[in-house]
Order: sequence, then structure tokens, then C-alpha cells
Amino acid sequence: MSVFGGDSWGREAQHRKRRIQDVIVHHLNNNDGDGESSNSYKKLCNGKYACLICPDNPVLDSLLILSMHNQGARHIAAESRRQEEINRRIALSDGSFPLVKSQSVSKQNSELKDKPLIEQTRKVTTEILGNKMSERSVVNVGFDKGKNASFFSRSLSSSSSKKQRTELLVNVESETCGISGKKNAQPTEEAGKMLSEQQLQLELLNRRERELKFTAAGWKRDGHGGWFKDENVEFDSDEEDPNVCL
Amino acid sequence: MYLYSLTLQQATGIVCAINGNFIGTKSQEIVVARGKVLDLLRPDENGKIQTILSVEIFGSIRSLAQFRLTGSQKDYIVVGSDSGRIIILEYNKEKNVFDKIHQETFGKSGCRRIVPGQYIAVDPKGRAVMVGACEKQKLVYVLNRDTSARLTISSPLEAHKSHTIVYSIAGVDCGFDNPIFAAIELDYSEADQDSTGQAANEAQKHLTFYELDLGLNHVSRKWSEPIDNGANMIVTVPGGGDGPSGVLVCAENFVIYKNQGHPDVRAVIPRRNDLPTERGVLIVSAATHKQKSMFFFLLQTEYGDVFKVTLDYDKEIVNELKIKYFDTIPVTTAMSVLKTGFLFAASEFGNHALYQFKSIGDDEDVESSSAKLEETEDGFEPVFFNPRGLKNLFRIDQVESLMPIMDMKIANLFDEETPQIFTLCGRGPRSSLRILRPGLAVSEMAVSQLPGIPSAVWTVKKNISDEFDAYIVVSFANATLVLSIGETVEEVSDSGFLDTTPSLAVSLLGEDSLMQVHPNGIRHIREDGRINEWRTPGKRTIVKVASNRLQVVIALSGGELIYFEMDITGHLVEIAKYEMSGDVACLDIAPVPEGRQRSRFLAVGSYDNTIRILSLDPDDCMQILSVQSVSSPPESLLLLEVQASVGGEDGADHPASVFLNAGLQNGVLFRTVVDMVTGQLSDTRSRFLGLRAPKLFSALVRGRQAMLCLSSRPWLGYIHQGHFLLTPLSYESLEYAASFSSDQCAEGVVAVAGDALRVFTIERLGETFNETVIPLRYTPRKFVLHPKRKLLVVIESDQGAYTAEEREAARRECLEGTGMAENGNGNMEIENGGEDDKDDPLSDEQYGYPKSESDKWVSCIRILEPRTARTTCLLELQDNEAAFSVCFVNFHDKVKEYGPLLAVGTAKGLQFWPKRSFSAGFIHIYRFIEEGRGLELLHKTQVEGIPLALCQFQGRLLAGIGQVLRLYDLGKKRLLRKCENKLFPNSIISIHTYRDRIYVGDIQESFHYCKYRRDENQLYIFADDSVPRWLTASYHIDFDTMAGADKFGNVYFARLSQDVSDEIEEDPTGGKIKWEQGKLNGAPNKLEEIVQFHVGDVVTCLQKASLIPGGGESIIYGTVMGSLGALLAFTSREDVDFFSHLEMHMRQEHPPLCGRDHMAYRSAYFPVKDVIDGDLCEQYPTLPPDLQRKIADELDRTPGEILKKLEDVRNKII
Repeated sequence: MSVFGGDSWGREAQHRKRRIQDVIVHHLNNNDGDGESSNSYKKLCNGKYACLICPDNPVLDSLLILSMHNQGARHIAAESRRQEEINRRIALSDGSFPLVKSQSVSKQNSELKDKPLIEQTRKVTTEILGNKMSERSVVNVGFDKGKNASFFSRSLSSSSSKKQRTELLVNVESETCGISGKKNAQPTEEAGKMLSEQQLQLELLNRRERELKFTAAGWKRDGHGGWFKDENVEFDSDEEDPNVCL
Repeated sequence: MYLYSLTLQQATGIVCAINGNFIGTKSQEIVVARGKVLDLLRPDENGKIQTILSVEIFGSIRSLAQFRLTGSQKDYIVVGSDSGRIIILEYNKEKNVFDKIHQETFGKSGCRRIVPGQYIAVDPKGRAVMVGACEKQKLVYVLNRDTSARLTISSPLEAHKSHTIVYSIAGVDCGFDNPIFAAIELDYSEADQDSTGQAANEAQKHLTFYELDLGLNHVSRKWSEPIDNGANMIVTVPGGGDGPSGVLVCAENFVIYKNQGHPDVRAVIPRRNDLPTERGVLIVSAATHKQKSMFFFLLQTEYGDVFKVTLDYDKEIVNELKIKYFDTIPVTTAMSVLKTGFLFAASEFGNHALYQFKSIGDDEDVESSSAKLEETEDGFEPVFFNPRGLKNLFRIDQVESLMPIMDMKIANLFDEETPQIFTLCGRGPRSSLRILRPGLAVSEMAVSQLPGIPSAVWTVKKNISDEFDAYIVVSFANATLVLSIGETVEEVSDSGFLDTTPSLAVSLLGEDSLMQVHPNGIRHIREDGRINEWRTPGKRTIVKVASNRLQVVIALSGGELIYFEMDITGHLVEIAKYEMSGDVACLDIAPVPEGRQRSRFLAVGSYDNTIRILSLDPDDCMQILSVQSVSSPPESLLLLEVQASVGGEDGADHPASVFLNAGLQNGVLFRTVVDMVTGQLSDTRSRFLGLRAPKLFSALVRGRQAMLCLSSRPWLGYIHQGHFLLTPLSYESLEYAASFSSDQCAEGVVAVAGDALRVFTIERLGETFNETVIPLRYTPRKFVLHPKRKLLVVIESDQGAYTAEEREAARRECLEGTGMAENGNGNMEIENGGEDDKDDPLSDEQYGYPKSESDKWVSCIRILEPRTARTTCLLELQDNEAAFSVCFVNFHDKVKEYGPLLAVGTAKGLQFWPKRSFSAGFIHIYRFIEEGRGLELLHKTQVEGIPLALCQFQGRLLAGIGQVLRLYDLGKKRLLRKCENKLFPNSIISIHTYRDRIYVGDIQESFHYCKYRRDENQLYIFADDSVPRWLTASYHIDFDTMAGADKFGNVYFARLSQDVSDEIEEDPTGGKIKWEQGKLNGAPNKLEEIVQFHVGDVVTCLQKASLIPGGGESIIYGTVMGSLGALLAFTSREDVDFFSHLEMHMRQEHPPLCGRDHMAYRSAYFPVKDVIDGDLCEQYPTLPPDLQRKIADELDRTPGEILKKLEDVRNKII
């Protein structure tokens, strides 16, 4: 965590630790497979983790231990029991409330639930359809994620994903062009989209510039994405706090 | 990259000086060594110092001595240099060169501690010379003459003693007994062995006499006796009938007379009243004056006071030694008393001076004597005095010296055609800011307004034998004004000139008649007042005229030329007519050669871009001899005759020749040689002078024909030391000019510009720059330029001095004291005599600052308007603080609030001895008030080291504080540390930035290239130099290249190779720069040194600039010795080949004068790389003609072409 010299390794080690945590979290989420997986454990305020699946809710010190625990026989048994219970309840609800599924989309959604690939595609399409909305949310998500990752990987990932999105957008647009005959409305719409795109980019740049300004002024990121002052750097009494302004 | 190195201004400081009769006549000359240049100077009749000869020797001169063989009338020069050789030179009056009589090798080259060359002593009778090293070695050469009276030199005799340090040597005058040399020596063999340091404390200096036994041809230690440990210098006392023989030993506080078998005679050196008791008094230079009946010594102390030392003796017994206060002059490195009653004082810093003796100090004054020496318990009783105004000496001339150049910047602050060079020069009270402009200095004698706008001006004599001009004739658009020159210049109407018409030419015709050419005719005014008028035929008018004393050619509109000659009866007779194809643009006739009736050539310029040479001989009158086409229509022509010269004091060997000069409309001066017989033109040269077509006028400079060229600035073409020089004048642009001679000003110029008539003289011929001097208070350290506001901010600091207020108070006190004392003595005449300098009776420049304790510093920050030489703000730093670095800084988010700020790095209580220490370092931040004319302290921040380098970087302040490079932001109450890198080896002394790169110069370890990463807020060193350079100057050349200079006198360029640079720049993740590590704490990448050159003088400042309008840029450097030089990058391979071959031939055919090998000298520390020595190449014209031809043949060129090339490359720089 030092700014002295160019050879400090402490920062990098911390970095590595974070990265491992990221991977484990990812792993845990994937292994659980279904939607409720994120509910399989809970991070406590003291930084420890509680397993929500096992009936006695054991508290574990770190993600690593949690992952070990998750592979344990007791946990697996508890999980399979829980799964059975869920399936039973779904079956019951299917039978008992057929009228609830009046909207085809929701029906579709539930049908597709156990087909992950299709689910991904669906996500993408919804993103494209409601582009503006999702774009924003993605940006935010990106930053939320970024709080755990280093700046560089963050900026890269965000920019690359952005590129993907724009490509997709173009494809979809051309399709819709072909289908719909309303060509006169198209250019303005497109222009508007382009403009918003640029605005977004500008906004992103500005945000990045502001962040850089804070890093150059001696602020650093903590593990939670918050900002803290580097102890080797001096600050003015009325210096702006990035935690407040960003 | 290939560079051409050229010295623009020779060193101006002096390291040693001797005087004698080097020419061999009665006159006395001075030989001075300026580091690597040997100069022969002589005061002329007017008491002005003239340089007779100046030779670059490509080596460093460490000592000089003169000797004369018995019975001879001429002195020889012995030079001790770094060549490992003893050199004996003789001045050759005929060729104006130093001839090398002897060159004897005795050791390795270079300035080494045991290789002799540091000290030279000669036997006063000229029989032997001793060459000493700082340590151990001393060699004695016996000088004699052979049967044909030529000087011979023996093989060396050794007088070595190991483990001794030598402080000074001198020859002892013992008549015609065996020659004896005296030396102050210190034996350190015991001190070396004893690790406790006790022996070192007890080490004792000895005075040792070495005797050369001429019979046995052997040197022996004759006598050795302990002397004061403060002894530093020996002065020879005349002997052998003229005096008591022996030596004066100058020690701290004492002068002691010593001789073998004679008791010591000791006298105390008087002290200044205000000198702190801890300080001693040392003698720094000495001069001896010897006449038949008497002799005395002048000794100067380190404070500048000169004492006259006399001996009261009876045969060989010295009874009394008297030290009397003589005068105070600035501290010198050498003094020379000339037999003609002058004292030449070669100053340690600042201008040198020539004084005339008004008296030899026989009046009453403070005196200490060996007879009155009182010893008390605390030691000897001191004698005190107060320095006073000059009484015995009178300064009659000054030689300007830039030494030492502390800092230099080149900028065009005055919006002139060429930029100005701003240099910080000098030390302590003699420091100054000097503004140098390329060109000759001009001193304006008179400016007077005229009733209209004049178009032309001439001066004319009434009779050919007159010394001075009689009339100034000014032509207006429709009138002519005649002014007569006498006591005053006034208008006259009885001159016979027609005043109702404009004039085209006015001149003296024949012996004593005057001619006025106007558009309608020629008016010939005879001596008796008769007027002959020639009218133009028909409606045609005269457009151009050319004339000399006997011939007149006019050009009529339409292109007809009419040629007149003066016949024996004094009438103008029409000789020939010639019809040109078109209108004539300009005309000129050469002056009538001596002993001839007419000049043979007429030059005619036409609008069809040609110049024709026509014959005026009766045989082939008006025949075209040759035609030259030029690039643009000629505007003005001048045939300049150069008289034959066979060397002599101010010329090289060259035959008589005629040069045709043409000013072309595109601003180019075109010069070509006219064959004296056939009129053919050859060897053409051209040079761009300015935006206006140059008008050419003939003038007289030092009695020789010279040429004035008036373009957008005036130029002077003249011959100096055998070279034709074309130099700009530092004067405003002129319309028309003529030479002017009156009893107030022998060689002047009268010119018109606008509606004014100006009379001026040209000074200091041969110099490249003229200077404007603005005095400063303390030693200037650094300065910054504000190009927009045209202001300079200078930081000055001095150690061991008092602040201005303290000094002022002390001085008032002192003046009151002396005033009362003098009144008490009734010594009123002196008071009155010194009235002229009463406003500043004890100028600091002359007397130096009173000394205080050595840990006391004074310092100030000064804002200066260079144009008006006005100091708008002077801030004295308080509390023993001294400023060391300065820069302008714009803090990114505070620019609107404060504008540009000034950052100054200071140290408090800095001490260098016994160990460098200080109590605190600070960075002051000032804001400018009153439009930049004032300063207001915003805040000061304490830092843990001395900030020796400051620089703005991305809206923040980068500071080099000892080993730490730190980035600061501006806070409310102090600077805020934002980021730092502590990995620099010693101490950062320079910072340059470009984009996100930072180029850091370390005091001992050359350059480090760094990068600042904003996203990580870190500074990384990614490359450094592999050579440990002691950096003294640095300059940023391009993205990958830095130019630097080290304290050993080398200039080098360090470059990061392209692929490494690209790799660094294309590092998107930033991982490489972060993780790469070099070996042994070095940076991962290394710089390559692409240029190496040994200048031979410590370069203190470097800058890239162009000194000619529209010219390419070169690197300009300034040195400690006060010289300025340039490094120009070659643009073509061909030139590189040509000059490297020329340099190679010059090395072979013309080895340096003092025996140092040229190649070895330029490669003294690092092998010279890709730099061609222009100073050596420029010695080509001084070679004898056959040698010139030989070299030219080998280069497949003619000597003329080589000279042209040399001129061209010089013209590219300045």
C-alpha cells in the first residue's frame, strides 16, 4: 500500500488475494447453478460467511473455508434435501395455480429457467431491446464489480463489453430495418441513439478523468470500492472527498 | 548526429599573466593565458588594451613564465600545460604568430599530480627553468645559446622528492652564481603512515632551496628550513648587486624575508578594520617592479587590498621589511607592473583593468614594519587600516570579462532581428547580468534632427591632404543641405554646392576641387570658387553615379553611360560613352590605386540580374571584361581594394586583391574576387544580410578600407587579424551612411535614418558580441525568463557576507570614522581630490563586500525589466536563508485564482565545511503582484533537504530534494506532498519535463528518465545513463535525447534507443515498467551516449537557439571561463565528410601550439564522437599558403573553396 518507489509488492499481493476471492465467489455461484445460489451463503458484517443451506447455519472465516465447507458431505446432503423440497413445492404450485401464468413472457421465462444457454441469449436480447436502460445498469454494474478489481482490468472489461454490445446493437438494428417498412423514422432514431452513445462515452471519460484526478491527488481504493487517503500523501483541509462526490 | 563545434566568443577570464618585451622593441607586452587560449596584449598610446594575437592551443595552460637570455633584448615564454611537455615560445613579429622554439616531453599528458607543468620558475638571469608538479616531481632544464645565438635547452635534471606537496616555486636571484630555486614543500610521508592523525596535525611546511650546479650539471637540495604552515607563495627578491637576494615568503597574516644564512625578517600584513578575527589574510598575487636604483613589490590580499612591500637593506643584510597600504583593486589572479607605468590587473572574476601609476606610494599611509613587530601573549600585534579610494593608481581601461558565466538563457525579449543572450556573470559584488547581442558595439556620438527626411549623406574633405572632413552634405527629396564641420557642425551656404536640387553624389575631385552630381548635371567647384557645370543632353536625367578621385561615370536614364576623367589642368573631360541595353541599377569605380592614373574597372549592375565589369583603360575603353549573373537585381555595388599585406601585427600574408561586393534586392550580399589584370570574376560568395536590399558604402577601419552594408540592420565588413569579417552592428537600421572624420572622432560614421543624422564610432573590433551590463547584488545562481511579461527573475546568494542593510550601516559608520580621522590630520586635499566619486566612495564592486562568518548567507530574489535595466522588486531573504533554485509554476486548479506562481528553493544555514550540513530547506511560493513587477509570499514549506531543482509538471510542482524526486500540489498553507521517488543516487540538480516524461539530472550520475503514472500516482525510473557524470548543465533536446555537460569539461548527448522508447510508450498495462528491474540498483534500460566532446572548460549552461534570423538551431553553451560556443548539427553527409577530412589534415599539418595532441585533447575523458572541431578547422586560414594548398589538393578543392566552406558554416551559426 505504499507509494514509495516503483518496486512495492504489497499492493500487488493484496491485489492477488482479491482476485482469488473473486474467482471463488464466481465458482461458488456457478456451482450452485440455480437462481437462489447467491442465497446459499451470507457475508456477515464482521467479514465472515454464514452458510444458509445447512440447517444450523455454520459461520465460516473466509471464502476459502466456505468453499471447503460446500464440498463437505453434510452440506451436500443438506443441499440435496433442500433441492428436493424446492422441486416439490414447484410441482405443487404448478398444479394448484395454473391461472397465474397469464403473461406468456413470464411463462416462457419459467420454462426456460433450467436451460442456461437460452437464458443467456434471452438476457442479451432483453438488453438489446431495452438498450438504454440496460446500458446504464451495466455501467453501474461495471463499477460495482470494479470496486473489487484493479482499475485496469475494470476499464478494459468495461470497454470490451461495450464494444460487444454496440456490435450486437447494429445487427439487431439492421434486422429490424429489414422487417419494418418505416424508414423515415429510422435515421432520427439512429442519430438519437448515436448521440446518447457519445454522451455516454463522454460521461464515462469524464468519470474516469475525475477518478484519475483523485488517484493523482493521493486517494486510493479500498476493498469495498470506497476511497481512502494514502498515508504518505498530504491533503488540504478542504480537499474534495471522492466518496462524496463520485 | 554529427555536430560542428565552434567557439563564438573566446574565454574572457585569465588564469595567469606575465609581462615582458616579447616583440623585442622597447614596448612592453602582456601574455595572458585564458585556459586554452594564449593571448598577446599591449596597451596602445591611448592606454587601451589591444589584443595583438590570440591563439587557441587545444590544451590547458597551467602556468606561464618569461625569461631573457643575458644580453638579449627579447623575452621568451615558457608554458606549463597539460601536454606533459615544456614549451618555449617566441613571438614572431613578421608573421604575427608564436613560434615554438622548443618542445621537450617529460611525462604523461593530462593534469596529474605528479606530472610537472603546474609550476614554472625561471632563473632571473635566464640560465635555467624549473618545472614542478603538485607533488614529487621537479625538473630543471638548463638554457643556453649555441654558436649561432639560438636558444638551446638541455636534457632535464631531476630534483624530485617523493611524498612532498609543493605549494609554490620561484627562482632565487643570486647573480651569476649557480642558479637556485626555492620551493615551499610539505612532507606527508609520516602523515600518510600515521592513522591516528597526529602526524598529520604536526606536518610542517619547509622552504627548500635547490641548487643547480652548472659545473657538475646536477641539482641538489641545498637548504631546507621550516616555515609558517600558512605559507602559500614565494616572491623572488632581486639580488646579484641589485638587492639582497633571497625570497619573500607570503604566509597567512605575514610576509617573511628569508635567505640562506640570514635571520627571518617578519612583518605582519595589515588587516581591514572590519575583518572578523577568525579570518586570516592571505596574499593571492604579487608583482615586482625593478628599476636600476630601486625595487618594490606589490602584493595583493584575498580581499583586494594591494600593499607595497619594500626592503631596507645593506648589501646582503636586510634590516627592515615594510608593508604599506597602497590601494584597493578587485582581487586578481595576476598583476603585471609594466615599465611604462601601467599596472595590468587580471581579475579573478569580472572585468580586467589597466591602471596607471599616479605615484608609487611614497606618501604617508598605514604601514607595518618588521622593526615595529610586537609579540604579545596572543601572538603578534596586528596592524589595522581602512580601505580608501584609489590614490596611487588610476584606472584607464577595462577589458570586459564574462567569467564566470553562471547561467544563460537566449530569448528575443526586445523583439529585435536576432535573439539576445542573457548571461549571469561574475561573483559577489562584481556580479552582473549581461545582455549579449551578436554584433559590434557602437558608441553614438551625436544625433540631430533634420528639417525633412534625408535621402543621402556624404562627407567631403576640402583638400586631399586634409586629415579631417570639411563638410557633411545631406540630400533631401528636392534640396541639398551643407553642414560644415568645425568646433560645431552648422549649416553653411557659401560652399558652392547647389542647394535647390537633390544630390546624387558629392565628392572630392583631384587635389582640391569638389564635385556635386545632381539629376540634371555635374557641378564642379574649383578650389578658387570657380564653378564648371556640365548639363545632361536633352531631357535625360542622371540616375546613377560612380566616382573616385580622378574618374566619374554617370548613367543617364535609358541606360547610357558617360565616362569623364580629370585632365592635368583640373578639368573634367568626357572620354567615352556607352549605351547599355537597359537602365542601369548601380555603378561603382574602384579607388585610384596608388601610383596609377586611373582605376581600371567599372562595375555596372543592371536590372536584368547581371553585373558587368567594364574596362576604363584608354586602350579598350568601355569594353565588357566579364559578366556575372546574380539571383536578383543588384541594388548597390562596391569595389573594395585590399592592400597587399605581409603579415605584421594585424594581418596575415596576402597579396593585393579587389573584391566586388553587390547588395542584391533580395537582401543578399554577393562577394566575388576581381582579377587585377583581366577583370575576370571568381570565387563568389553570398550571404543573406536582412530583409532590405543592402546598400554598400566604403568606410575606414583602423586605417584600412572597410565596407558598411545597410540592410534591415547595419553590417561592417573589415579585416581583423588577417581575416575578412562581416559582422552586424548593434545599432538601428540606417538609410545611408558615409565615413566621418573629425578631431573628436577619427574614424566615425555619419548616417541618416528617419529624419535624424547620426554620428557614431564602432568599437571593439574583432568581437562577436557586444554587451549591456546590469549590476547585481550577490552572486547570481539561476534565473528564469517570463517571455510574455518580458521579465527576468534572478536568484542571488553569497556566503560569508552581510546583508545590504548591515553593510550600509557599517559603511556609514566607517565613513564617519575615516572622515573624522582625515579631517584631524588636516589631509583635506585627498578628500577634495576624490570628489568625483563621492557619491559612492567605497563601491562594493571595487572593494568587495566586508567579510562575515563563513556560515552566514545572504540572498535575494530580484525581478528585473531587462529593457530598462530596472529592478522592480528585490526581496532579501531573511534568517540566513539562501536561494538555490527557481521556476515558474501554474498549479492546474489554481491558475485562475493566482495566475503563474514563482517557486524558489532555499536552504538555511548551509555549510560546506567540515561536512555539508544545513539546518533546513524550504520551498517558497510567491505570487506576482502589480502585473508581475512585485512578489508576495504565499507560503513556504519546509522540506528535509535542499531543493536544488524545481520544475512545473502537469499543473504541479516537481522538486528535486537531495535524493528525492517529489511531486507537490499547492495547498492553502503549504505545499502538499503527492508522490515521491527516493531512488535517485546522490542529489538531483536538474529536472526537465516533456509530456509525461521527466528527465532528472543527478549531480554525480548523469540523467535518469522517469515516467509519472497518474492512475497509480507513482514515479518510475525507466532508464538511466551508464556513465557516472558530474553534471553541470543539461538541456532537453527531443523526446529521447538530453544534452549534458560535466564538470570535467565534456559535453555529451544521451539518447534512449528508439525501440526501448517505443516499448516504454506502448505498455498499456503498465506492468512492464513496474516490474522490470535493472542490475545493481540501476534502471532497467540504459541511455546511449551518442555525442562526446571535450570542450576543455566547465560548461555551466546549455541552450538550443538560433542566433541568425531564419537560421537553424544550434546548441549554445556558456562556460566558467566566460566563453560562448555553439554546436551545430550537420545536415548533409557531404559536409560531414569534408569537415572530418579537413580536421584530420589540420591535425596532421598543424598540431596544436603547446604540444597537446588535438585528438587526445578532445578525447580527454571520453573518445570524441561525432563532433568536428570547428576551432581547429578555422585555423586553416592562418596556415602558410603552400600548406593551405597542400591540404586543399588532398581534399580535391581549392583553398578558396575551403575558406568559403568555413565561412558558410560559421554563417549558419552566427
